[in-house]
Amino acid sequence: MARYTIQRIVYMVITLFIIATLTFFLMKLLPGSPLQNQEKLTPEQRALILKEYGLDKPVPVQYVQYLGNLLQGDLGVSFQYDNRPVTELIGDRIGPSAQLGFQAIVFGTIVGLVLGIFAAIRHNSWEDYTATVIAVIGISVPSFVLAGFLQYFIGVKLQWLPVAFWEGFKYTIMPTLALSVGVIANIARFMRTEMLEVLSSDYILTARAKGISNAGVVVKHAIRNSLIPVITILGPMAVNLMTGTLVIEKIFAVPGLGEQFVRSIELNDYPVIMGTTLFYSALLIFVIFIVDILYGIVDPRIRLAGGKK
Amino acid sequence: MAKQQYDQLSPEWFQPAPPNVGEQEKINRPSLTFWHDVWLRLRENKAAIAGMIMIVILALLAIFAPMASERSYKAQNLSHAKLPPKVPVLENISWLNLDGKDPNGVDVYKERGVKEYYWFGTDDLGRDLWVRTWYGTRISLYIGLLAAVIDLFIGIAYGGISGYYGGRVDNAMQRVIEILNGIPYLIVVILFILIFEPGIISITLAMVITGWTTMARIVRGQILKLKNMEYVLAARTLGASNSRLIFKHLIPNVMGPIIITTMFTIPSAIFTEAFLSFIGLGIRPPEASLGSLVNEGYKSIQTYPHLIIIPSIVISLLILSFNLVADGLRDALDPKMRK
Amino acid sequence: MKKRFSLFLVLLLALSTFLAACGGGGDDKAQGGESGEKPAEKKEQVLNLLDSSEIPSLDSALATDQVSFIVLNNVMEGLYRLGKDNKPVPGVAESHEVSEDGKTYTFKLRKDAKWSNGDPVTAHDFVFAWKRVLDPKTKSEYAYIMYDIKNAEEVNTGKLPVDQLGVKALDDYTLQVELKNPVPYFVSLTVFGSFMPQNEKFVTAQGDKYGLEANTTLYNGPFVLSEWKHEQGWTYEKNPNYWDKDTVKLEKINVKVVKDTATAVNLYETKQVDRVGLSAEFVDKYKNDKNFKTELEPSLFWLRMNTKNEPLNNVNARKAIAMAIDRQAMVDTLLNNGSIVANFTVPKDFVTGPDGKDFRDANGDLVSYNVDEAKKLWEQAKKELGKDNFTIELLNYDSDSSKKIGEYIKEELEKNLEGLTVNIKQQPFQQKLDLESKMQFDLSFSGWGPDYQDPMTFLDLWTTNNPHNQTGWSNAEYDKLIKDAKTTLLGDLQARWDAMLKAEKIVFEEMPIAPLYQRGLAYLEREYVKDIITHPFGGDYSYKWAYIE
Repeated sequence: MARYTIQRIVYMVITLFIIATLTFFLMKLLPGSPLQNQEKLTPEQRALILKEYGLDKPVPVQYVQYLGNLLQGDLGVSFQYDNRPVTELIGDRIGPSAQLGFQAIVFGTIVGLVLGIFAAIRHNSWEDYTATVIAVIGISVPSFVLAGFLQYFIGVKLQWLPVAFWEGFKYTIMPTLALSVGVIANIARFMRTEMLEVLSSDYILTARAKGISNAGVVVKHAIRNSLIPVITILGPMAVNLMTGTLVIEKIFAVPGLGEQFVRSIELNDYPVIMGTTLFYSALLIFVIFIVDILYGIVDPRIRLAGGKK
Repeated sequence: MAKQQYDQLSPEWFQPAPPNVGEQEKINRPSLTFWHDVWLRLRENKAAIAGMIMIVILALLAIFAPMASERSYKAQNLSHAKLPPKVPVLENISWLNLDGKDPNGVDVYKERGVKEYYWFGTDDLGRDLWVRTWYGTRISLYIGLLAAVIDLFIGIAYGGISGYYGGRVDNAMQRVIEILNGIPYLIVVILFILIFEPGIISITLAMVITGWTTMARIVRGQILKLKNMEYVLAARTLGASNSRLIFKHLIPNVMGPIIITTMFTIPSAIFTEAFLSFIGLGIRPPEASLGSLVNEGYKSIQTYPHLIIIPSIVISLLILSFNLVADGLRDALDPKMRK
Repeated sequence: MKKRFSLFLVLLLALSTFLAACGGGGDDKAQGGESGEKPAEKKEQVLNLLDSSEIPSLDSALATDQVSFIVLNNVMEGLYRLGKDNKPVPGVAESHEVSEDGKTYTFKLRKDAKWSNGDPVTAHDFVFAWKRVLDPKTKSEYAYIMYDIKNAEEVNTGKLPVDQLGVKALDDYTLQVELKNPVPYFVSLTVFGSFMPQNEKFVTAQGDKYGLEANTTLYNGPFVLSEWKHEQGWTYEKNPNYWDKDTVKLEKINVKVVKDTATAVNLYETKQVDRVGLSAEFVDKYKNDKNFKTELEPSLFWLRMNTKNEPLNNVNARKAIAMAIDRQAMVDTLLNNGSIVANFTVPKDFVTGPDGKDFRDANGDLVSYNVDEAKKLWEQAKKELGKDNFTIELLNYDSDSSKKIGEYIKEELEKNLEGLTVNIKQQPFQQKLDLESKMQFDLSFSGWGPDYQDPMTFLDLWTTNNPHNQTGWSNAEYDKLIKDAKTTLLGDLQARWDAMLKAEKIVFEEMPIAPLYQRGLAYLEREYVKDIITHPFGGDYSYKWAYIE
């Protein structure tokens, strides 16, 4: 296990390096310059300022410089927020995004699991259909539409919760709800499928034949075994949430990372694009790594297969 | 009469019957192919059938409604802009809100002297939303199906190979997926749309370029689980080739998750397209997709709710139907569910 | 079976109770907070506003965007500032003298102007700040706005050392500025953000941190930033060191960052903000509201036409395109925000001539919507070009509002001009500018806002070598008029004015652009908010005179 872990960490570093390289060159393909006032600048003035930033140098030279800075932990300074270090920009804004994402995952997973389990136990009953409908609504209504409705009815009409901003727990409730609907739906659907599969397998029949109570079968065998594959989709889902937060952050005026990232792409703010990309990628790779480790721990068959290699 | 017949009974008639092996082993139920069997089970599932009917209806509307209307999906008429829906007959049922009145109860049609009926109302350029909704459904269905099919092929091939061979191959292939997933999707999509002409194909490809990895991961996971099962071992012992093992034994058994993932790819492709139009990279105007309609309507959520409610309902119905059918198929494909 | 039913129900109920409980918890507080802000109790001088983005920079040498300039206009003060009637009024300068040749300005500074740390604001602060803007190492993107100062361009391009700049502090309170040309609008330039003074000692001490936080910036304006939470908002407080503090009535202004219009409107509805901008969708909802207002900005939008490409190389084709679009309907229904139809290329209510008349009143409408005429011109153009069908590309931004306008223009042109097909090419902002400067388009939807208060900021765009011409249009007479207005006619302002009026007419004889509209702004403002002044350029708003009634 230790050897496997070290091996994976080495792979992770290599992966990150490749991503940094790919993103760097892809970004250089983005048209235009990072200047904010370029609509008013003449080409000569533009060239002058770009030269001061060192952006007139050949791309390979810029790449080497970038890597050098990266190794020292320096992600550069932003163009759009003049002279502000990228590390500081990410540090300032990751908090709300992370909290939002975490709350949505936790809340969404719990509700999703409950819905999925009930739908599976009561297969083809009205509970099943209710859960299906909830899941479908969750997938088919875009989160920004839901957010818009929530904000208008709960925030403006009923005035139960604050309309927007980020000033305490109650400010996080509506964005979390809007964001978690997708999670609920996906988890519920996946859990239902897995549970149905497990419930129809032989060892469940054996367990029943041994006389274990229905509740015992469900709790001890079915749920536990169905949870394993669900773990695998948590990783990609966390990543999907990042795209979701971007819209939600805008609607609820949450000072998060997503909005800033989109803006930096629109404005060609190279250092911020690079920094945020690396940050997201590192996070993602780490999540996948954790998921794989967990998977190995909970499912003995996988570990066995891994050990053989 | 019966008594007389008894007299004619001969002992020779009572010989033991010869063992008729063929007859005993004969299968009485008609022989069914796998897919015939699936269909038999599927059609008992009322929800799935309802879903199928709904998909057919929506697809027919998407194909024929824009053709049948005398108005084009892009014809503008600013003097008819932002009209609420008004449908003959149904306009008399007040709770349906199909009477051409705005949220304040003013009859906009009368106010502006509009004689025509716009069944779904009009948008802010005065385009007929009925035509645009079905035209958009057509585009969305097309994008969804295309993305799902491409995902399916790449995902199965990639995930299948990766999971089956395992070891180094698997490791290398998984790293490629990790790298692909690690590059922010937005950058890839933006580049794609800048490099290629914006249009349905480039949007679909932009979605597929990272979208197939989900399918690949699921197929790989399932194959990893299945490949150590006894029946695979048995087939292998009998000398089955690798490709036969993958395509004849493993893939059919992971069909359930694959179909479910595909059925999720269709709606999620429809939504990714909506998300792309949210950040300004979606379908090119004046074309429409359900996603872009919902997106445009979102701005009018408080002022002209019909602009968002109608496309939202259609998109939800579409996805609900796909889900019901997917569920039915899943159950039907699983022989263990046979009653 | 029954048991299981109820278990499921219990869980559903638990879920909804949880949600309701969260809601209930928020309930009391939300309403408690709100009651403090009811109009009746709104006696205290606190203004609550929204802005659409974080402040990118408080360093006046680096600021490029609307938000930064608004903040700078209220926390800083230059030699002059725009007054209530949008004419420059003395700021740090008490008065100024102009030499006979109009090339040397001598500003007398007031002695009671102070920085927020108590230091006096001196002429040296201006010299330091302006040199910093023009120093190529600063990488200021607005350096060009100072190019009217002697040697400014040479300094900025590195051809001359910074100390050759034609700006001198004769003593602590006298600033002398030498100009390259005697431009008549120089005083109005000094209200612009890039011309704000900077305290050398403080800026040097802060280094890279200057302008990044509320406490790493020094202020000399009516307000100071007391708090700045990045991406969330900032708070202005009245500056006790400001020389004219008796005029300033507001004690505090809270600004929060909200990017979504619907969210902003919802915040207004829940009485958390006093003023909110409206998009077209919301105008319909609020246009009869007593707090609904519109105002006209001096920003113009038009279609650039690439006069190098067929059929736009034909003047009749260009005229036909300009006349075939019903812009009144576009302004009324699509934009719906107080924008007006533009039949000109110098905006309305922007600048008045030496005779006191608005530029627009003098020149009037120079083109108008006329489908019949457009069709006639189009037929003629087709004959002259010897072709019946043309396909042209309309380059557009990818923002929501421009999308709508692009679709509308396409439909209008295709409907009214037979044989014309318009394809829309929508591109992200940067890419669009790139294609535009390479002239890879036929029609391009674009706009322009003024840099200084003179028609020239709009008119010199169309001279032959102007990098923003981007139409390929060139007219010797036009070039001469503009050149004269920039040089020989500076001594005779009326003659200069007439030359500019004539130049605008020439543009419409040859129509390298099809003007579309002058942008308006629709907003809701609570009735107790008074005297927020809107400016046509520089920082958009002044809160110096604003108060709560």
